[in-house]
Amino acid sequence: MIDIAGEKLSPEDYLSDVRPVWCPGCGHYFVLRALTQALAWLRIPNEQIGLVTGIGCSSRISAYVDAYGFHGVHGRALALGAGLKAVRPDMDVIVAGGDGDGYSIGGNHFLHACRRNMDLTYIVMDNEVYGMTKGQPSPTTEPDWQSKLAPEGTGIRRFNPLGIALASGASFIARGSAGDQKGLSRLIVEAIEHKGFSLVEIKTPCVTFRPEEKAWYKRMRKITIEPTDDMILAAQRIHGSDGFDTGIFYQADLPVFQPHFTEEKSIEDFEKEFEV
Amino acid sequence: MQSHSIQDRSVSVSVSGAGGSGAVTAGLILLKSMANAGYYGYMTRFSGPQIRGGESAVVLNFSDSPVERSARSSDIHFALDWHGFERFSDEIPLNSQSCVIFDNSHDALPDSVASTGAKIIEVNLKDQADQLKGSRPNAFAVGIVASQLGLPLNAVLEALEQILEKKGEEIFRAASEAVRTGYGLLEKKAAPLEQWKPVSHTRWNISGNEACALGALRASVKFAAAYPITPASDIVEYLAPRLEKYGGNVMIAEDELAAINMAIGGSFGGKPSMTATSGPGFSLMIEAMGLAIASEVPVLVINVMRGGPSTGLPTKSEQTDLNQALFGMHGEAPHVVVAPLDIADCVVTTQWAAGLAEHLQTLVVLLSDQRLGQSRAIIDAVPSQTFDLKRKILPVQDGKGSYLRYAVSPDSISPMAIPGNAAGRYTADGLEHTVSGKPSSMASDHLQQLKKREAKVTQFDYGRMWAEASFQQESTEIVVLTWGSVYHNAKAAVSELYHEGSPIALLGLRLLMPLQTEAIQALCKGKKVIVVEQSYSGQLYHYLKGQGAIDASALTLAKPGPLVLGSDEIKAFIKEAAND
Repeated sequence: MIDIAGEKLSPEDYLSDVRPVWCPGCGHYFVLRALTQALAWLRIPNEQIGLVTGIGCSSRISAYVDAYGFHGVHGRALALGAGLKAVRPDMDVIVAGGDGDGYSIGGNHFLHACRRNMDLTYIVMDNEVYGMTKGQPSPTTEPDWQSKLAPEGTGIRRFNPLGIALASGASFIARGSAGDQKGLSRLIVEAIEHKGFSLVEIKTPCVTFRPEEKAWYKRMRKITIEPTDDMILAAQRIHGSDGFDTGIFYQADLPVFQPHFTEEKSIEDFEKEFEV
Repeated sequence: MQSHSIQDRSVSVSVSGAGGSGAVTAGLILLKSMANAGYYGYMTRFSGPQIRGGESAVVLNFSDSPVERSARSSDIHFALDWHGFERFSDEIPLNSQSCVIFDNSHDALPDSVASTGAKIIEVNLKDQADQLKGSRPNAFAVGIVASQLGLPLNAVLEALEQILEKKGEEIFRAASEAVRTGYGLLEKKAAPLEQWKPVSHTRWNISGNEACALGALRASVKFAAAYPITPASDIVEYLAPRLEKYGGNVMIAEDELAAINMAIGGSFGGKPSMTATSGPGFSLMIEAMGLAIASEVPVLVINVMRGGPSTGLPTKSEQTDLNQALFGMHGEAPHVVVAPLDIADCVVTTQWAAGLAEHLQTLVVLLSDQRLGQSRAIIDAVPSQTFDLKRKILPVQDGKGSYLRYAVSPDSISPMAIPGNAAGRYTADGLEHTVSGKPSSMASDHLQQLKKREAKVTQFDYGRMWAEASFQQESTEIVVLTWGSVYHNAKAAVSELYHEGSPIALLGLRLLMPLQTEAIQALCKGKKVIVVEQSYSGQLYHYLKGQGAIDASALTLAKPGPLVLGSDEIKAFIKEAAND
């Protein structure tokens, strides 16, 4: 057993023996490191972690963490994670995926996961591109980015995950940078410890299809002010940001959805209702 | 009253009216009254496309023995008004033997009804209701119909009390007064019930959808996630207040994509899980159903079929999602498809289906349909039974072992680790995988896992549950093969022919996938086979032929919804086929 009281755990204690398919230099490696570091700091027993992902480069992360993982279908990780959490409130359920998985094909589930405010942690590795299908524009891609699929750019304004999470009822909203290991690990720790739906949107460069994103590492900066539970102030911070600010934009104590049950009835009670 | 009704001791009643007129409530009260009086009954309901303000109708068939099909025509029809009645002309057949009673305070008698030659009785319920504060015309109608049937007034008042229990003393008092008044309004005729033998044992008043839900509870399903859809919503609406008092939960999903994924998540977490939907929702769930198969997570999906394609006939019945349930998934996705044969069987088959999902660690689809699901009947209580079908679970141990989630075993079912068990950490995957669950696109892994997933489903012994065979004998020459809500009408047709001396047998299929081809062949080989189903294209017929379960010479009687495939129609078809 790894979890011997007092023994210091390391990120390696949370790594599986499956080697990532990610390209060399991919930002996702840093996210994997930050996540396993956060789990080591929190000393959560591996078997109490549920890591649920969808489809895409980043969604492969569920195979790389030594926990109970589920690599499901495209866009539905939040729903699967909600089902798991509903029946297993004892577990720490972490849902992870990319910008396409979460904000495009899974957009509806994102809205309702925020609104439901279950005690889930949602890690989005946002690289503003579909990497696994080799470089198509995603909801967070800038409108003038040129690609095979949109040679002149999409001309469509970008999806604002933090603003939408706030409007939809998420109770913890943060942005992190893959380039800031320690800061990111701390954010993930805060997100897991927060009671309610926590969004950690992580800017993580796709070095293959968006090599220019490597410049993010230098551009990302920390917001220095304390987290707020004031929605107006949070909205100002989110919408006033150029997208390179990292930190907790909003954290509030909101009602958490967690189904409860009792065992007060028997099958005979139900059968009696039909009797004539 | 029709003479045949008295002979075979059944009587049929229908009630129609504008939405909100209380036709359905009147039907529910009459059904319960019959139950209180010691009889059996079966009620189907029809409604126009409007939610309120449209028109609705109930068709009831009563008998002193179990009855689970509609009559050929209405012995008594009560029209609370004639609003939109022409829409029900097919569902409510009237003829010269029928007695039509109507409230003449609304529209005049339609020519189409007058021309049936039915006996017509006019009453003015508006006047009656005006004289009795708080009363509604449908309560008078219940009293009138009860008197014409010879139904004891006490049985009706008792039913009224049970149904209006929650609506308060005043409403009940007005309604019961209206029933009494209605009961004395018309002269009593020779009442058919006088010949009947009431029973005194406990029976159930239950709909097909409720029966499915009860079956799920009996199977210890502990988690259901669903999105509202007609005609399946009743299932989860039944479960919602009950499951949370029985160690489980119902979760409202944002759509069907979420519902099935939530159910898979709940099952992965260790709880037997299900969802319920109808055609359009079923289409949305298809991708994740494949995930349940690939990742070997048990899940039960109930599809209460309605007419399709697209939005189709949302409130009406058809058996046309069979092809999709069998072959809808992309890739090769072995799973189980079952279908209950009647309301009582909804309890048993759903319990069995949920158990199969758990035991085989795969997707089980249960196909019900609107007619079966939304019909309500007085049936004998369904005895509880046990199926020895449990999920094989990895024993809890400390420390990480060398757990192989998808290990190949003799029965191809590998123990499933439930989260929280340190020894069983793994990642369930919709990607093809190795025995450990590690993603792999190697040909050898794909072949191994394809074989495993197929073998566990096909090699399992489904026992006697796979079908109901009746009237079989050495001399059988004709076999009628059918499924689902058509079963009872087919059974009535076959039963009549059998008793008239025809060498005919009936086979109602409960297990549709994996098809028990050899068992079907054993019963059908060398016989004249007729496949009866509610579809236009003959989906079951082509499936059975394609699988080699029946010969090329087999005949098909396929009729699309929403009209019921009646026993007369089935009987006529068989007779003609037999003479060829």
